[in-house]
Amino acid sequence: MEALKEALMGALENHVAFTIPVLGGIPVADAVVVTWIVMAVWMILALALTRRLSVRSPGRVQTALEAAVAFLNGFARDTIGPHWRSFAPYLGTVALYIGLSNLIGIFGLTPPTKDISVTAALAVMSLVLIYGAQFRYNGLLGGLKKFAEPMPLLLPINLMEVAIRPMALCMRLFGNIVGAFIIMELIKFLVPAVVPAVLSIYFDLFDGLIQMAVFVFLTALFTGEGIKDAA
Amino acid sequence: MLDFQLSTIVFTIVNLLVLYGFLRKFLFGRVNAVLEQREKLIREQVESAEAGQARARELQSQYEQKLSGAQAEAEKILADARTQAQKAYDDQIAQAQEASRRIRAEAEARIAAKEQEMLRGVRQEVAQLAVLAASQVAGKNLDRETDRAMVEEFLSEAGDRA
Repeated sequence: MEALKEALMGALENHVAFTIPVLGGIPVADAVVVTWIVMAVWMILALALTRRLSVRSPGRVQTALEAAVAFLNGFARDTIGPHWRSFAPYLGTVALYIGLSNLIGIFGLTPPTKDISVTAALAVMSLVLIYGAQFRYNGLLGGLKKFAEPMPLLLPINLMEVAIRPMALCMRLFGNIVGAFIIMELIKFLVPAVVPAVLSIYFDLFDGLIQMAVFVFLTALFTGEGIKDAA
Repeated sequence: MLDFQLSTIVFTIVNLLVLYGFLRKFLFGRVNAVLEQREKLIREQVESAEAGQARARELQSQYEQKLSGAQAEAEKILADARTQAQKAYDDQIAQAQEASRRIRAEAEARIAAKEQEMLRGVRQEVAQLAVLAASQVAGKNLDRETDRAMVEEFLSEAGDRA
């Protein structure tokens, strides 16, 4: 039992892959290296899939790609409102990044989303996006007024939300991925064969995609809340 | 486990921004461009199809108008031709009737003249015969002018009576 505990704690540590020897050494975590792999995969796929796009006779791959992008656009339009156009690509990027990050455990790599610093960074980006949009499309005064809606009584709660929303986004993603990771480690310790593979479909695939959807959906929802009725 | 590492946060934000920029340009940008172009293409085609349909409808009504005009004209031409033909026929018939009437009148006149001539000849002959017979009866020559005139007078009286 002690061995399991030690192994688990070891697996939960965020390893530093290497250190850049400038400014007293900048540590580069495993999560960052895996993120680079994820980025490389998406970049290569994006370039490969968007070669030879045709307006008149789309192939099967292009049709699927267009359907996916159209779905993303529709989702952004429904959730964010009239200013959706500049947000859809970011939401899509985050969805692709979190999605592959959550699933990459299947290929034996450490999911970057298991590192709380990564989910924190994602949450910071969402924070900037949500409140940046609120001020960008309502103006300084209108953006401030948004904090007193739907009634001035809620002002303190709305202000607290500025911190709570990203914190919740960060912890939810991190907690789910770590939770799934711990459960999978325990199952692998108890039953080394067959059962982990079956349960992995739920904990790695399903939960990973659900958390991706939740993160993107909440970010879009919060953004839309601030700017949906902005001119 | 719960240690926030500033370098990882910064790296992740930079990574996300790079990935966002890349995917926006090469994935979403390209696909959205295709979607927009297709939308534009479809809109243009629908518009041109509608314009073509309207044009076709207009042409059809024009043709129909022209066609009905042509029909009326044809009917008019036909009627004109019919009246003209009727007139020409009537003229011909009238001319023919006129000609036949004239010929008949001439023939009748000629026949009447011939009859008169014949009658006169017969009368002369009869007068001669009568004179001859009378001279035979009288046993003398009735060659004299007075006798002949007398017979002639008698004959014309008789002829008038007859």
